[in-house]
Parts: sequence; C-alpha cells; structure tokens
Amino acid sequence: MALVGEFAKLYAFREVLRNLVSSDLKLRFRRSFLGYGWSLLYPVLTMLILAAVFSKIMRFGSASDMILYVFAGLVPWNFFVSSCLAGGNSVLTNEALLKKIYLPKLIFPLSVLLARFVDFLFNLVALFIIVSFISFKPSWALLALPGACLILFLFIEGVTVALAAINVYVRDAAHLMSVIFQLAFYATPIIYREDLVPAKIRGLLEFNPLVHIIRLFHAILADGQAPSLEQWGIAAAVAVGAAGVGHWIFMRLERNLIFRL
Amino acid sequence: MANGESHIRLRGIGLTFRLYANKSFSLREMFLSPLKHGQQVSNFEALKEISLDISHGDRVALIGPNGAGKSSLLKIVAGIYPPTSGEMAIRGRITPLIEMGAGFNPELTGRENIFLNAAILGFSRAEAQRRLPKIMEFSEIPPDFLDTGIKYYSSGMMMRLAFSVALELAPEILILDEIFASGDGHFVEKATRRMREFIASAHIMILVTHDLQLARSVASRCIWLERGRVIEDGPIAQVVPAYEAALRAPDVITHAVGGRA
Repeated sequence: MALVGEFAKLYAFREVLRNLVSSDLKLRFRRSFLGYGWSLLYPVLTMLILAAVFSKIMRFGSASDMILYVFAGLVPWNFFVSSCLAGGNSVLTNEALLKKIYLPKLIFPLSVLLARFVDFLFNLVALFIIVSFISFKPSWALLALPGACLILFLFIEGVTVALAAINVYVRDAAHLMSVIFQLAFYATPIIYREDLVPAKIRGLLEFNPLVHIIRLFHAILADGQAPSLEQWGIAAAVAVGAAGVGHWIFMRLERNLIFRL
Repeated sequence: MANGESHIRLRGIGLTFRLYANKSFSLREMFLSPLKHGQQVSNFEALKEISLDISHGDRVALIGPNGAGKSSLLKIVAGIYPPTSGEMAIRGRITPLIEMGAGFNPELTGRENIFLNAAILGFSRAEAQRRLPKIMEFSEIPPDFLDTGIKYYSSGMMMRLAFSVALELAPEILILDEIFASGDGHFVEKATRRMREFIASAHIMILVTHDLQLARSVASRCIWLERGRVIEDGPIAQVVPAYEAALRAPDVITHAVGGRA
C-alpha cells in the first residue's frame, strides 16, 4: 500500500520527471553537429569495433554467431550498469535541490532509469542494424522481446532505486559497486558462452540473478527461440523480487534521507 | 492541487537532529560502531512541541535569535524535513522561495529552465507556456537569450531570471527566508514592488527575518521563536515590542546555538 502512495506522489510530480528525463537525453549531445543522431551512431560504431575484434582477432567458432551472442548480452548489461551507477548517485547529485525544495526523492533514480532505458532502446535498434548486415534470420521469437525488456527494466529499477538510497547512507557503496560490477561482468555469460564454463562451477551461475534475465535475451536474439516457460518464470520472479526489495529498501531509508545528505 | 482556502495546522511538532560526526557512515564505522556505540550520535532538539494554526489570509513574520529553529520550522512546513514527532496537515500549494534558482540547471537554456522550474513548483506545461512571455518580460532578458544555455548568462541575468520565475509562478502558501532581490537598483525596486503584490495575493505568507522593520511592514501576525519553542504568538504590534524589549535585556536572550544552514 505504501508503494501505491509513493507512485501517487510521483504522479503529482510527473512533469518534473518528464523534464528531468528529457534534459538528461538532450544535454549529452547538445551542440554536437549530429545531435540525436549520436544516440544511434554511438552504439553502432561501438558494436562495429567489437564485431571486428571478435570476428578477426578472437575467433571462436562461427564469428557471426559469436557477435550476435555477445551483443545480445552486452546491450542489456550496459543498460544495467549505466542505470545503476548514475541512478545510484542521483539522490546525492541532487542534494542542493533536495535541501531547498520538496520533491519525491524517487524521481531522481527513476529519471536516470528512464533515460538509460531510452538509450537501451537505441542500442537494440543499433544491434538490429549491425546484425542484419552479418547474418540475421528474423524469427517469431522476436515477439517475446518486449516481455524480456519489461523483465529487465523491473530488475534494473529495483537495483537502481535501492542503490540511490543506500549510497546516501553508506558512501563507500558507490566505490564498492563499481568493483562489484566488474566482477559481475565476468560472472555473467556475456563475452563467453555458458557451456564453456567448467561443469563443476557452472551451477554457481544460477545464483547470479542477472544470468536468468540475460538468458532470455540470448534465447530470443542469439538462438532465435522463445524462452522456455521455466526461463520466463525464474526471470520474472527475479525481476519482481528485485523491484519489490529495491522499493522496500528505498521506502525504509527515504524518510530520514534528507538528514544524511 | 488544492483549491479554495489554504491552511497550515501543526500539532506538537518536534524535530530532533541526530548529529553525526560524519553524516554518512563508512563501512569501517558500520563494523566498528557496535564497539563504540553511544558516543557517536548526539541529539539536538531544534523544535519542541510546536502547535500552530495558520489560516487563509495570515501574514506571519517568524522572528527569533539565531538557532531558534526558524528555518527548521519553514523546512518542516515546506515538507523538506519530516518532523520527528507530532502531526501536521497542510492545504494549499506550497513552495519555499528559500533560495531562488535552486532548480536551475546551468546546461539547460533559459526556456528549458523555466519549464523545469515551473514543473518543480507544481505547474503544468501548458500553464508554464502561458506564463512564459510574462516571465521573460519581467526579467528584461533579451529574447534571443531564451534559447541559450544559462551558463552563458551574466550573473545579473541569471538572478533576474530566477526572480522572475519565482514571482510569476507564485505558490498559494508563500514561504520567504530573508530573501530580497540583489542586483541593480532599478531591478531591485521593481522586484520589491512585485514582491509586495505577490505577498498581498498569496493565501498565506510566512517570512523569516531579522529585519523587524520589514516584518512590521509586511506581516500582521508575529511568531517569536526561541530555542525551538514558541515564546509569543500574536498581533505584530504586540510581539515585536516584546521581542525588542527582550533584546535590550541581554540576560533574557542567550544566543543558544549557531544558526543551521
């Protein structure tokens, strides 16, 4: 019920949220000649570099399959890290404003989350552009993509929101997180295939919540298959759990946040 | 937001600051704190058992020595600080004019900042759009600067824009903490005149000031606060002389604690 109250407050300030998201997106490419074009061109170029590296230098099996697999994992991963790092700092960054005026604090992590989600969508488009040049067989599985995006969004929302509050109380968290993200990057099958992990330790992957969500993207984008019911179920449970716990932490910490800034 | 009559009702409001040596604890302290518990946190009661009713039409001056809790009380009313104890109910759109230009983002243009601030102050985009010409006219900023980043504004222009936004987007409950315009003489005069109209049209005005002359000229009711308690509350013609008498008898007033920002 308290969560409903949180979102009701947020609705009253939706115009602020809209403004924050649009200025976040606008400011990055302001005064550059290509402007918004960069939001698509940047991921396309980054992926081209990666594709070149993977196909010419690091050859494992079929290069085009590997590229598709890597991108399918990398795009959601980048959304995760960028939202958690910037969103986690968002309450601290807006300290001056929060001390002068009442605003629901949830607005700050959510504005970062939404802006990074827009980036994520551009990245997906870039992915389709790149892979359509390599080898891409459109399949019915793509219809499952919005579901996977929704699950990913919910999961990232939970982590971002929790970090935004925790970072105010424990200033070490920001530094710790960037290390944890590095570890998590290698602990998640993104630049390696899951079946390359030695069988003895493969079971450990199940404890990494992100693995269950990335699997959806691997299935849909790299394998061209709709995820199994079991995969959907676990990923959805992980995402809803993360969102629930994240908002719960935020609400617990929110009331006295202002005194800790 | 609220229509009709505005009202502020405070019952037994207390505000206790926990003073931490360091506002956020580092991980090290988190692990060590059970060992040296008790010596780390000291409490400071900024407000004690404040009960007040401020009704539609009231023009209130809040006076008292430094550290009396005046600004803390404003921040409670504005919703920035949650009270430690007591109940409060507020009807009316309220935004503190504690510091103008608080919501300005130097990277955004004048127009974008106007919309962002309008949103923060609770106005819809359409309403902001409607008031935009008046804001620009009052600020005397050349129209071709409207779409220039405000980081390129002179400090005078920035100040005039902040002031014009605040004046044109007046809240129903007006909260002023010792602010009166600075800048060139002509603008100060115009702004002060506008400020008085603005005070006249607000549903409720609460002004924190050390300038008793100013208090007399804009307020009809005066609340004398000292060490977190209400000493006297009544017509300004009664309370100000009593306060002045106390000021002349220095034993009565001890400047307890340095003012909190």
